[in-house]
Amino acid sequence: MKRYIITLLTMLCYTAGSIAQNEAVVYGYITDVKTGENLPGATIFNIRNYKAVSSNNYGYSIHFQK
Amino acid sequence: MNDGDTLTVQYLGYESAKIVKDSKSRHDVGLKPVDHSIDEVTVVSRSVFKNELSTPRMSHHHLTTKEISRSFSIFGSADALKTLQLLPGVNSSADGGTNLSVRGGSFDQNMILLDEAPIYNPAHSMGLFSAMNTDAVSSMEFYKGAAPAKYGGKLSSVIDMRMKEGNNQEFHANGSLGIVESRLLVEGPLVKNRASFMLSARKGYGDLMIPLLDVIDNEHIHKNDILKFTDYCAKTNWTINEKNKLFLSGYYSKDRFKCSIISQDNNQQWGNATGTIRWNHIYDAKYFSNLTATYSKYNYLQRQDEDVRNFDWKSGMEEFCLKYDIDRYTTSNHHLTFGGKLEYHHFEPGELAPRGESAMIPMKFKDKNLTLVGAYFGNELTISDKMSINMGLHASLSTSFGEKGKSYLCMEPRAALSCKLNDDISLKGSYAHTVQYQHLLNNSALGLPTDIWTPSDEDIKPQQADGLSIGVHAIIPEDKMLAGTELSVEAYCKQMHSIIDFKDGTNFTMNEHLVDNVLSGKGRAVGLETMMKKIGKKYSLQVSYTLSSAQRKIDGVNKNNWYYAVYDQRHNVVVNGQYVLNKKWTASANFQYHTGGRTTVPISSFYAYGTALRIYTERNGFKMPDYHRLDLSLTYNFRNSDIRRFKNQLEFSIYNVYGRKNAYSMFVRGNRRDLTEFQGYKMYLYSCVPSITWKFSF
Repeated sequence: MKRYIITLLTMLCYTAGSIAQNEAVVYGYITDVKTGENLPGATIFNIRNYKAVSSNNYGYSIHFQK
Repeated sequence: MNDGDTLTVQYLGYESAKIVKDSKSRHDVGLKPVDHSIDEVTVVSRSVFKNELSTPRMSHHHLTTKEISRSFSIFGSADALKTLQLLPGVNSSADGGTNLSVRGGSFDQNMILLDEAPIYNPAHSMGLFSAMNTDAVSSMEFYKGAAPAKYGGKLSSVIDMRMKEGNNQEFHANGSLGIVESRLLVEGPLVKNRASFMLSARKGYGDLMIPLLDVIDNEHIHKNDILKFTDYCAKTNWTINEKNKLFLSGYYSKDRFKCSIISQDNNQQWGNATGTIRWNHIYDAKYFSNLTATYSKYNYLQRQDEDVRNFDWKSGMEEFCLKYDIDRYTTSNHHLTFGGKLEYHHFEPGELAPRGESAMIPMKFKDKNLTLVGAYFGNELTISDKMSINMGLHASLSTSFGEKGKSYLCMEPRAALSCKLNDDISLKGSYAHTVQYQHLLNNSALGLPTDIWTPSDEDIKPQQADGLSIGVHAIIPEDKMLAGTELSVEAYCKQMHSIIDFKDGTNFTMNEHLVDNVLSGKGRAVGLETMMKKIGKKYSLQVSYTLSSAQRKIDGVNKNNWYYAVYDQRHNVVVNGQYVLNKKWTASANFQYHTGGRTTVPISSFYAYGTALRIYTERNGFKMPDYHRLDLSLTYNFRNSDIRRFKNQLEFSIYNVYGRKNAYSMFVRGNRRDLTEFQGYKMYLYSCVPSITWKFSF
């Protein structure tokens, strides 16, 4: 049980440390233009710095940049 | 992000799209599908793989419809679950079967989800086809290692399939006509851009092929045998507004089976049914939520028509689940997921109901129930440009009710790390502790519809596993030979606890005390998986090799010594390729080899006290013959102009080109005159099977 608690605390610490940064966002659904269906696992990256994210299981994605 | 910055959106099988940042934050992006033979696919494939190098996901495969439809399968129809057998670390239990052993686990240790609802028997026609119509599947996530924290409750793998949502732009239909199965799918808008539907139906009539099957040398299956199935999928969705989407989907399947070699008077029927309601809501850009309610049912009926032994045998199970998932995107470097679920499971182990003038006595095994409350927390962090980590915890409390009911609180922590050495190479590692509260009471690798599930209780503890993986993933740089080739090597080690097996001589038929024969112990599996994938302008090639071992040690079995699992297949090689010859013709080939699986067989016999007794090998001590086969196919595209909506193609395929009689199972038959004499037989399903399929869409 001890190791689980340590894992949880570690995760919480990282969470606390990573909030409150002021970043602009671009978000929305990635879809198939011919069918309108959502596309999970699509890749979105910034050409300038090649920072990439993937759309989630429901085709939703968000891209941040400072 | 500055105004004017450009984002590129990519997805395999689609043209890339660009988003130029302006004052708006919301950008829904539509991607245009492309023909798989053009350059765009090559470029996108490389780019997507490069992104994968940075993520802490490992032992993960994302498969799109196009990738599934490119893979080869029997009778000319691509099969979602059989596509997974082309991947390293995945073994099939029998020739042509859909049951999967992932990294030394048994096939009940795979979580198979269709629109988030579990499918308990994923096979049609005793495993010849998977239960899901591939045409109705839009994508599939496959995790054989540390899965995201939202998944919990199965030991070995997660197969998460999504049904097509339906075309919200125009009406469309596609289908196929084949010699053993046909399919039809229709989809279209209910309200353009807002709501759509998808309906699919599939019918299998494998009994037409039965006279050609040669199950045992010189013994044909009886012409009156039955091998039929149907399945239906339906889905509709409604975009209420920019922030809310609703989905409703359902799946129903039914199988009918009669095999005179097994029994002259026995008919079997089984089927799955699922239903899903899903609500996606965007609270704000950084909060995305998904509320899902699912229902899943599996039932089995065996009808015996034998003079005074007429009866129906029924069993089944059902599950209700309500879950809520939230994605919290904190910063560019941090993605948080959390949620919870409530599950209720009802098990009906079996009921015998006599019919007509039957001498059979009615009986009913006690129903069992299980409730499960779970919560999870996952955390993906990008620590630097080169390093990212994913940690998660899935906690669950299961309570089984009844005579020996018991509660168990279990934790499933997991973590994965990715470290990029340069733009083209990354090292990855992962660990996961997994728990399973439902157990399949089964002693074969085949996956039969008669198999019974039971919950953890006082006697049967939850099965648990600790899996550790390390790996190297790389892509060959542009200036080198074989540029763009994707390579991966992963080594894994898995320790399993409280896994189950049965006492020697256990009777699996209508045995109310089957659970009393369950023994539990430990297992271990190790393996090395390698894969090479190359997508060129006109071709695709995937080669994989797995070296693995899977063993069990259970007190009361095999004199308490370690023994090989039935899925132990030491070497496994798969080569799968496709080549576009010209605009009309495409050729595909698939070669598979693996070391034979394990089974227990009698090796000698003697008389004692007037009875013939057999001496068996140690548990799973007999290695079945090695498995190998070559499949070829040729697809002819009729003159399909971009202007005409109607498109069609003919697919000619040959499964098992050189007619290798690969073993489906092994069994023995005794001599009626001298009971100590017996002979071993290899049961096989296919030798060389040619087929032709006409596919169309409009």
